[in-house]
Amino acid sequence: MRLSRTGREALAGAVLSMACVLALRSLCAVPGETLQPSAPVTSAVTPAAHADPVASYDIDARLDTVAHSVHATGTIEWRNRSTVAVREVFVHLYLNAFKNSQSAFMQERRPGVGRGTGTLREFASMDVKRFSARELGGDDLWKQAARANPELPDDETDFRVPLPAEVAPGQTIHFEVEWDSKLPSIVERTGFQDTFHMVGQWFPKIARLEDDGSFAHFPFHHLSEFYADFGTYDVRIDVPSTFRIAAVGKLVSEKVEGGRRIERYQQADIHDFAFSAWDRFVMRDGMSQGVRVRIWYPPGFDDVAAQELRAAELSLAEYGSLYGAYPYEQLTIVHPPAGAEEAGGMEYPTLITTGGPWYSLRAIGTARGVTIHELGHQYFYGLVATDEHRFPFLDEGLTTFAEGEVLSAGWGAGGLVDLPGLRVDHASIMRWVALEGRNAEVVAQPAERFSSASSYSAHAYMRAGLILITLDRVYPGTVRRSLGTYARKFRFRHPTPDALVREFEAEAGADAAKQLKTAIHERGWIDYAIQSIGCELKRAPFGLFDSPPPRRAVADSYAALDGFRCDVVVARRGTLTLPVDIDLVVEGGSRTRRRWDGVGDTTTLRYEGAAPVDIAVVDPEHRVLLDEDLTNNAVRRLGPARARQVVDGVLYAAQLALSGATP
Amino acid sequence: MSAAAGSPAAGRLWPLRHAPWILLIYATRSIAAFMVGSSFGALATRAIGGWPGGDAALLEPGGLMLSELVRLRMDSLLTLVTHAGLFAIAMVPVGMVTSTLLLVSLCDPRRVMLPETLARCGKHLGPTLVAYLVMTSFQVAIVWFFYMLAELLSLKLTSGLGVRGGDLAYGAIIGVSLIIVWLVSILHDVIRVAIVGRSLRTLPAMAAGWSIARRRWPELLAALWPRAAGAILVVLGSLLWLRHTGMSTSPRLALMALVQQVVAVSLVVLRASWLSRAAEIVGAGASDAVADEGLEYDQG
Repeated sequence: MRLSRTGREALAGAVLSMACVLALRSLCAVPGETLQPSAPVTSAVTPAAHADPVASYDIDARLDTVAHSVHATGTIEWRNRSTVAVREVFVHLYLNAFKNSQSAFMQERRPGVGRGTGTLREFASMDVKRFSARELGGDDLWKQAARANPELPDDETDFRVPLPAEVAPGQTIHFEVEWDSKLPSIVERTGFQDTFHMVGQWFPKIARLEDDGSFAHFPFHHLSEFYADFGTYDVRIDVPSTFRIAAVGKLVSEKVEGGRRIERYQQADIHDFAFSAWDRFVMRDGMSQGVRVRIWYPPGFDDVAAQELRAAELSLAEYGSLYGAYPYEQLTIVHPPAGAEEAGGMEYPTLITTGGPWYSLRAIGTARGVTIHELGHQYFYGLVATDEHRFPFLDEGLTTFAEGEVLSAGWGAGGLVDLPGLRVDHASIMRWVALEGRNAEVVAQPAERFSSASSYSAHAYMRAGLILITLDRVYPGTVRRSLGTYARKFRFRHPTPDALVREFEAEAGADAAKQLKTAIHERGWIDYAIQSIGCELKRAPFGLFDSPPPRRAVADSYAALDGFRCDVVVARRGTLTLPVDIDLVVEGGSRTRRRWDGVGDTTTLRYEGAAPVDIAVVDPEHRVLLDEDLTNNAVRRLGPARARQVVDGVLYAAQLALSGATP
Repeated sequence: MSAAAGSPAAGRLWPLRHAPWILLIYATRSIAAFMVGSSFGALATRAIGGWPGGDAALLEPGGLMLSELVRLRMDSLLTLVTHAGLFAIAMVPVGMVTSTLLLVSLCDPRRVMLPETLARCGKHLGPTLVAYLVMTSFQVAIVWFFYMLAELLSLKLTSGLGVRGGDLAYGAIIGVSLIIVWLVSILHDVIRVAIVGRSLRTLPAMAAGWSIARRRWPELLAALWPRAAGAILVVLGSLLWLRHTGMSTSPRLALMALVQQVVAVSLVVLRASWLSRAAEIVGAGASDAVADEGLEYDQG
């Protein structure tokens, strides 16, 4: 049968369309996730097996999914771990940050800028009904409780509770507590959205007691996170039977009766507890490194959930190799539904929240990036429990660095973007965001001192990470190794920046440690540049010469000797002094590498050879990622090379665009 | 009615006599594209022309130098992108002239001398421009209407179908609008062919185009399908080539540039091929209309 012309054209169209589909599939194919585990960080330090329990919570909580509130009773077993007797405790009621417009949180937030700045459709409250101590007479102590910060008279997130008697060092007391928590519409990691509930910062939490007997208490600031003592949590959560629960800790029992689901979660060696409940959760799970990983997510989000689960499994292996094995039996991941995005991107011990749309592309690493970052907090926040309020860079900056390690191991140069012809890694994005912060603020400062959410992100997260990756490249592997030791040595402890610096100094030496301190405490910065290249033919000496006497005049013969003499001037601006390599590329392509210790404002490199220096490049391997401007790091003696690939690429793109745009 | 259109020879692409106009379209686009590319190139040259390998550093895995260039020259880049957009708009009348010249050539089986071609092009430009403005406005209105519809239904879709289902339904609505826009662009081409091939003014051409499109839509779609798919395929092929061979060396770079220009020429040829076939269908459609309805075409 002979086809008509229309039939032939349609057939050709079908064949070509199939070819298009195949080409597109081939183009969009993303390489598999092939984790090449970094060399494990070996350390003589064995991490502690358990924390020293100071504040343990035994709670019965009933979630009212219609009123969006929790009624709870419980016991807090608290020990005076300090060396002095105490006559007071400080208790955080952080949910009250969302009680009214006068809280520190609401006053500090900048409308529209950063997380937690949306309109609150429903306010929150946290009302303590009873707070008594068995060992101190059993009277309700909350009647005497007062707001702890006179400079913030309207804030109700930080309370001082006087005790009727001293609690001696080492003495343990038991607080009997009853309270009601009304959740806000979803905001800053907590709240509800329709029937989805993320229940965080929902219980009265005793502030951490430092060694000297002082309490590390603080209101809930807009940019601040948390700090608490380790303990054991035993929590029974009661929700309608149609709801599923994702919670911190290990599920040890569950039952459904009377239309209610009651699940019991237990976990030792942690310092916070949160849970999520929703009647539409879908769950999938996996195992990695002996850890049961469960992800709870909205219907239709299977692909992004699979991406996050895979990222978590890879991360557990890599983080374990770098910072010591994850010590808990389970990891729970919650992917909040659309509309509850502010509940995402958060960490609690053994539980993290992620985020992103169902159509999150594997080629764009947002879903894995968030998962790996929050999982990194299991180490830098969870296990190494630094003061997130006072030194946020110790959790965010270290985690940002660690996140880069895992992304590099698993996804290489395409860690965050892996498109045809365009692969962008974590370090490039980190550097961009960090340098956009203009180094305007000190990295190692308390959260509430940062001027904005974007500045907080640029400095506490990205610049801190950039400092660490720079030092790790300049002093190869030292940050990696020192973080490995730091994470193991301070597991279940509460170190300060000094501890980090000490560990780094032990690995990299005093000079390197000085640079770290300058960078995090004094807004240290650096910019290397090639200032000039000058070359001339070597010539026979001429002028006046006294040796050997008598003085004689030698005329310039204009005779060239063999070869060239070149001077390359390299400059360093800034307050950091980092050793750096300089490559001299000679005409013909051969390279000579020089090393400069970075001391002084400039250095002049003298080169003599058969051919002149064509190109000089400072830091050719991009070790100093803190360098403020990489475009001045390389200079050609005879002027810049024409950007042919840019011209070709844009020309082609413009031709294609004009093909579509013009008639 | 022109004697040329509708004859078996009308609209055949292969005769070399169309080549000058095809090359003219390619040349005008290439010159415009080169002007845009050179501006970006000058920026990149100043920024990273000192590095060994020059702007090859921009393509290094990891994207460090690319992100550095964008970070440090963001203002300049945005200015260049804005100028490039305005330049593309300015190229519309140029494209209209060159494509009308091609249409004049395609719609006449004879070898048309340059003065006559220019004269006929000048004669048809007015109706062509009006048709362009009308059809483009119509396309914009379609997209706007469907976008507003999708926005209005967004919440209902999400509550009824869930987040994923709602997003897919939203995308489907936008997709339908794009398909309609594409169909309108086919109609637009048919109208332009009618203007040039039948020497019609805008309104009669639109009426004739609509009539022909209704009667001969299977032929039109079948004709466009392989050519559109072919255009997409050559572009994808060039990207696949880039992905698999890279541009790490000068010969590869030169070869890639050559491949890209072959693709650019191919796109013009495929477009000319489609217009040529459309001219045939319009010619046949016009005969149908005359036979069925006794339509008389204005000689313009």
